[in-house]
Amino acid sequence: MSYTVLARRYRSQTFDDVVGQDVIAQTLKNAIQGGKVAHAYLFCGTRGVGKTTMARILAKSLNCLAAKDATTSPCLKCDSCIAINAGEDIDVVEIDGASNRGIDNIRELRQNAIYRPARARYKIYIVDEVHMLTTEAFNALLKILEEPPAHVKFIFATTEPNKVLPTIQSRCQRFDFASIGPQVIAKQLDAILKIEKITFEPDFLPQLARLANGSMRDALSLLDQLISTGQQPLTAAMLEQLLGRPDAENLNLLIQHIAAADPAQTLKSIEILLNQGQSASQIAESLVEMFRDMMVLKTAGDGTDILLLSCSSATTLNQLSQTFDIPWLVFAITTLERLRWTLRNSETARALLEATLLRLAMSEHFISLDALTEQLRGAGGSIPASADIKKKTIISSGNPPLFQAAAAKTPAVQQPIPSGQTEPGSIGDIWRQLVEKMQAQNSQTGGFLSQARPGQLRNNTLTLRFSSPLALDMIKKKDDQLCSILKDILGREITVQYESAKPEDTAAATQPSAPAPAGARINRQQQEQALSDPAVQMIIRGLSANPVQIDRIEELEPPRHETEETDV
Amino acid sequence: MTAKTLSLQQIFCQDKAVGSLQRAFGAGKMAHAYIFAGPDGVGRAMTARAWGKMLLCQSRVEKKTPEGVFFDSCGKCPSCLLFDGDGHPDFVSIYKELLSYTKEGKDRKPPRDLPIDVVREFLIEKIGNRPRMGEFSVYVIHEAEKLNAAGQNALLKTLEEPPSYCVIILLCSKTESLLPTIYSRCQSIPFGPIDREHILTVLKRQGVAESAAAYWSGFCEGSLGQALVWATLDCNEKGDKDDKGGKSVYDIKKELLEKLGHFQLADTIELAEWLGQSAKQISAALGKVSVDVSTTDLNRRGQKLMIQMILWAVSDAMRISLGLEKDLVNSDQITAVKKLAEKLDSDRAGELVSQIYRKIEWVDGSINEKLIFEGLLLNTAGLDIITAA
Repeated sequence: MSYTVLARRYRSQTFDDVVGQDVIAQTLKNAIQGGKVAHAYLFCGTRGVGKTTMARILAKSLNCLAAKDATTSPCLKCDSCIAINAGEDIDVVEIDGASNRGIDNIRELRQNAIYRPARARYKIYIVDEVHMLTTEAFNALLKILEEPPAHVKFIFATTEPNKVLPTIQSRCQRFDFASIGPQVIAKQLDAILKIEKITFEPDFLPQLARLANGSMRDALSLLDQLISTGQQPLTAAMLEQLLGRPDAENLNLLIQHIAAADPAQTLKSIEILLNQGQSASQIAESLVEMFRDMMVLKTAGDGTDILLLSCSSATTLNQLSQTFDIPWLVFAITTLERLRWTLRNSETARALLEATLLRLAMSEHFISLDALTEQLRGAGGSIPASADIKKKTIISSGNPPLFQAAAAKTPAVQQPIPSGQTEPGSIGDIWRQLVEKMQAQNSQTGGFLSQARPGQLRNNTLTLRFSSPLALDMIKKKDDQLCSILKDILGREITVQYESAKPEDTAAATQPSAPAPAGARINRQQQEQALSDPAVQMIIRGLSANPVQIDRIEELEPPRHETEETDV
Repeated sequence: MTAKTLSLQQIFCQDKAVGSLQRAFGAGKMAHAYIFAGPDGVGRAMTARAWGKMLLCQSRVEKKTPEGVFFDSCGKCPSCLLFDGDGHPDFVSIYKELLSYTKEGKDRKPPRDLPIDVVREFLIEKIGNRPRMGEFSVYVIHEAEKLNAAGQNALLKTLEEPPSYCVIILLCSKTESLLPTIYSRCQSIPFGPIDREHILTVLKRQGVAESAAAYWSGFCEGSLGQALVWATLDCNEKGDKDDKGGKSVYDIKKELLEKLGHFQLADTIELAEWLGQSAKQISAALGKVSVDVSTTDLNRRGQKLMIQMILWAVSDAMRISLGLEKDLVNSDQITAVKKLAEKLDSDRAGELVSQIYRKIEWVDGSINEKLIFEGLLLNTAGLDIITAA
C-alpha cells in the first residue's frame, strides 16, 4: 500500500522541527556544537512525544556525510541521512528492544559493536522500547555501556524508565520528554492540514488536540482516520462519530435526563449510546469528563483557560451545569470513577451501567448547608422544591428544624408575640400546657407539636408555625385532639391555624448566646443531655436512627442545643 | 471456523464499521493496523475475514452506492476459493491455541494469555514475507485483549512501521487492556451490539423456542455468538438422576426465577447449593462442545452465567419498581420478577446490581463457589454481612 500514515510522513527531520521538546533539542544541539556528545542517552516519555524521532535526528546529526563533523543541521540528502530516515542504515542499528529482549541479542550486539562503522563517523545503536529487555540483557549491556569504543553511541528510548535498571540509567544521560500541550498539538495539526490542503471547522482542532492527550502520534492517527473518510471539511461531529466516542449530543441528552430524574429516558439514552458501539466504560469515561468540565466551569467560572473547549461546547456545558451543584458533581464523578474500575474487569457491563446511572438520576442532589440556609433566607419559607436544583439532602452536620425545635421549647427564647388582640401574657403558659398534655396523650404527636412555635392567639384562633412540613402534616391530622386539649386549657372553642414558619422568625429565634466553638468537644453529661432532648429522641425513634456524632453548634445556647448527625 | 466466509455485503448490523473501512479503502487511505473493538460475538472476526477476503480477492466487485463505492470479494477467483477453503497463504489468523505449534510450545497447557511466542513466531517473524498471491497480506490477531504486557510490547515496532503490504487487525473486546502505545498505533473501529430483534430472528431460525429466544436475545447484550451458545447448549448429562430429557439452560433459568420469586432468607443455603449444582451442569455441558479450554475456565463460565441470570432478574426488578415495564429481559416470567420487585425498591435493586458485579469479580478471583453464591443470596435477602465496604 503506497499510503504512509501522517505520523510517519510528518516525522520531524531536524532539531528545529521537533514540536514541544525545545529544551531537549537545544541541549542536544549545544552538546553537538561543543563536541560534548555523550556515549549513551536515555530518552523517556509517554507515547508519541518524539523519542524515536529525536533519536533519529541525533543519529543523522552525528553521521551526516555532507558535513565534516557532527552537525546540528543534517543535510537530509546524503545516503546516510536517507537510510537513517528509513531505519535501515548500516551504521545506525535500530533495534526493537521488545522483541529482541534476551541476553543473546545483547551478546550479538556486543560482538558487532567492536567493529568500526562502515562509512560514517559513529556506529549508533538505537534501542527502542528498551524497558522490555530482560534483567540479564540489561546486565550484559553494563560493561559496554560504561566504556564503549570511541566510535559507538547508544540511544535508548522507553515509555517506562522505571523499568530500566538504575545501573543503566546512571551510565546514560537521561532526557525526559514532556507530553505535548494541546495548544502546541493544535498548531502543528493546523500546519499539517494546510500542507495537505484539507479544510476543517474551527471547532475541530481543539477537540482533536484534547483527545490526543499530549501525544502527537495519537493526534495524527486520529487525523488520519478522519481524512480517510474522504469527507471535507473536517468537523468535531465526525470526530465523535468515527472514533467511537459517544457523541456529544446524546451525552448531553443523557445528562439532561439524569438531571430531570427521568428513569425511562435515561435508560433510553444509555441504549442509544450502547447501540452506537460504545463500550460501557467509554460512556462512563466520557461522563466523568463532562462532569469534570462542568465542575471546573462552576468553580473557575467562564473564560477559564484550564479547559480547552470550543465555543459551542462551552455554552452547552454551561447550560447543563446550571442543573447541578458542585457537591453533586463531585459525588457523580466519584461514583462513576468507581464504576469505571468495575467495568474494566467485567465483560457484561450493561446492567451495572444502567443501575448506576439510574441511581445517580434518582439520587437527590446534594446541597451544602450554607447554600440551604442562603436559600431559606432568600426564598421566604418553604424549601423551593420546584427550583432548578433538585430536592436536597443536607450533607453538612446538623438538621435545622431540630435545633429550632429545641429553641422553641425553651421558654427563655420565647419571642415577643406580635401585637394585636392577643393574650401575650398567657400564650407561653398555654403553649407549655398544650405540649405537655399532648405528650401525655400521645408522645409522638407531642414530639411533633413541640417542633411548632405558637404564633398568636387572636379571635379564638391559635396560629401555629411549623418549620418542618412533616410535623405540619402530622399535627394537622390530629386537629380534633389538639382543639379538645385547647378547650380543656382555655375553656372555650379554639380553632387552630397552621402555617409554615417564616425563615426570618426561625433565624431570629436563635438568640446569640455565649460563644462556644462549633464542633468543640462536649462532655459525656452534655451528650446525654442532648440525647435526652425530646426532639432528638423523636428523630431517633421516628427514623430508627443511630446517633453517630454530637457536635456543638456555635450560635446556639449550650449545652441544650446540640445537633446530631444521624446515621439512618 | 465457518466453512464459507461471508462477503462484506452479507455482514449485518455493522454498517458503520464496514462503512468506515470501505471509505478508507476507497480513498486509498487504509491504515496498516486496525483494532476491531467491541464485545464478543458481534461479528468482529467475521468482518475481519470478509474484509481480508475482499483485500485479497483478485477481481474485486465494485458497486456504486449513495455513500460511495462498495468493494466486495467476487467469491469466484482462485484467491476467494482458497480463502473459502481456509487455506489462503496471505491470510494469517493468530490465536492463543497456536502455542502448541510454536517451536518450544509442544506440550504446554492451553494458555489463558495470548503468549508472546505465538506473536513472535506467527506475526513478527513472518511479516517480512512478501504476499504470495496478491498485493496484501492480512494478519488477524484474535483476543488481542489477552496479549500480556510482553506480547504487546513485542508488537510495538511491527505495528508502528509494518511493511507496506501488511494489514494487521486486532480483535479486541477490552481496549482498556491494550497499552496506550498499541492503541495509538492503530485505528480503532467500534463494533456495536447486534439488535435484539436480529438475534431473535437468528435464534428462531435455529429452532429455538420463542420465549427462550426472547430471553437470550436480551440476556446477551447484543452478542449473537453468546446467545447462540447458551440457547443451543444441552445440559442433559447422561448419568443425570432426574433425567427429564432435553434440559436446556433456559429451563434452568426458569426454575431459578421461580425460586427467586419465593426466595426467603431461610432458603439461602439450599438455593446456593442448587445454584452451584446448576453451574456445574452448565460447565459440564460447555466442556462437551468446546475443546482445549481448561476446566477452571469452564467452571467460571458456568458460575458467571448463573450470577448473570440473577443479575438480570434484579435489573428487571429495578425497572419494574421504577415503573418501566418495556424491554425487560425476563419478559417471559414477569410475575416472578414482579414478586422480586415487591421486595426490592429501585434504590435497593440498584445497590444489589453493583453487589452482584462484585460477586462476578469474585469468580475470577478464585473465591470458593459456595461463598460466592451464599453471599449473593444474602445480599439479595437484604443482608450485607459479607459485603466489603
